[in-house]
Amino acid sequence: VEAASVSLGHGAHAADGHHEHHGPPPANQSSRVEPQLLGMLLFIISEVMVFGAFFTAYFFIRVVQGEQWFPFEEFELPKAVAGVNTAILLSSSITVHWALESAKRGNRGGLKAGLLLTTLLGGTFLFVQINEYITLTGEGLTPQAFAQGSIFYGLTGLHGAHVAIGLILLIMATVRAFRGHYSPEEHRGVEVPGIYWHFVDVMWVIVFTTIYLI
Amino acid sequence: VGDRVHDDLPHLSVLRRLGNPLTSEAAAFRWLLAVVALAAVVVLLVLGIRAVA
Repeated sequence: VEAASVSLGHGAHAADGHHEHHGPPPANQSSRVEPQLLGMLLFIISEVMVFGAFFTAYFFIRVVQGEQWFPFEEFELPKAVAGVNTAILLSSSITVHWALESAKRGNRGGLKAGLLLTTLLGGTFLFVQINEYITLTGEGLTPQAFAQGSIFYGLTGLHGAHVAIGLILLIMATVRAFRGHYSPEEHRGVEVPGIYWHFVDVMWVIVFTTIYLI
Repeated sequence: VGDRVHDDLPHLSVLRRLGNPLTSEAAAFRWLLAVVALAAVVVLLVLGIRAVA
C-alpha cells in the first residue's frame, strides 16, 4: 500500500490536501536525454548524413575525373574570395559566442551587438557566395556544364541553404534580444541557434578545405 | 529512440575535454576551433606531400 501511495505522486498528495496540482500531468519522458537536446542530436545526425551523401558524390567525381579538377579548361575557383568568405563566417562564430557569453553575464549591449553582428556577417557570407555564383556562371561554369560544376554548386549550395536557415534563426534571436528577451538564467533561444551556427561553420570548414584547398 | 541514444560522446579523453557540442554553445565553439585546427593540419600535410611528390 505504501509503494502504491508513493507511485501515485501528485495525486496522492492532492488527495491529502497538502499539495494542489492543477492542469494535466507532466508529459512522460521515456528518454534519459533532455527533449531539446535529443531533438538537436537527431537533427544534426540527419544533417551529417545529408552532407555525407554529397561528399560521397564529390569524392566519387574527384576519383573518376582524376586530374580533371579545378583548374581545368580555363576554369578556376576563386580561392581568395572563398578564403575571405571563410574568415567572415568564422568571425560570425566568434560574435555569436560573444553574444551568448554576454547574455550569461547580463550584458544586454553585448548580447544585442553580438547577435546583430553575427546576422550581418552571415548575410555578407551569403551575399558574397551568390555573387560568386553569378560570376562563375557568367564565365560558363554552370551546374549543368560539367560533373565538377554540378558537385561544386551542389555542395556549396547545400551549405548556403543551411546558412540561410541559420540566418532565419539568428534574425529571430536578434529581434527577441532587442525586445528585451533572454537573461542570465534563460538564454536557450540564443544557445540553440549558436550550436546550429557552429555546426554550419564546421561544415563550411570541411567544404572549403575539400573543394578549394585539396 | 531516446533509450538507445547515448547522452554522451565516446569515452575518449580528447573528445571529453572538448565537451558535448550538442549540450552547450561553448562546447560547440570549442569543436569548431578543433575542426579548424585539424583542417589546417590536413591542408598542410596534403600540400606538403604534393610539393615533395
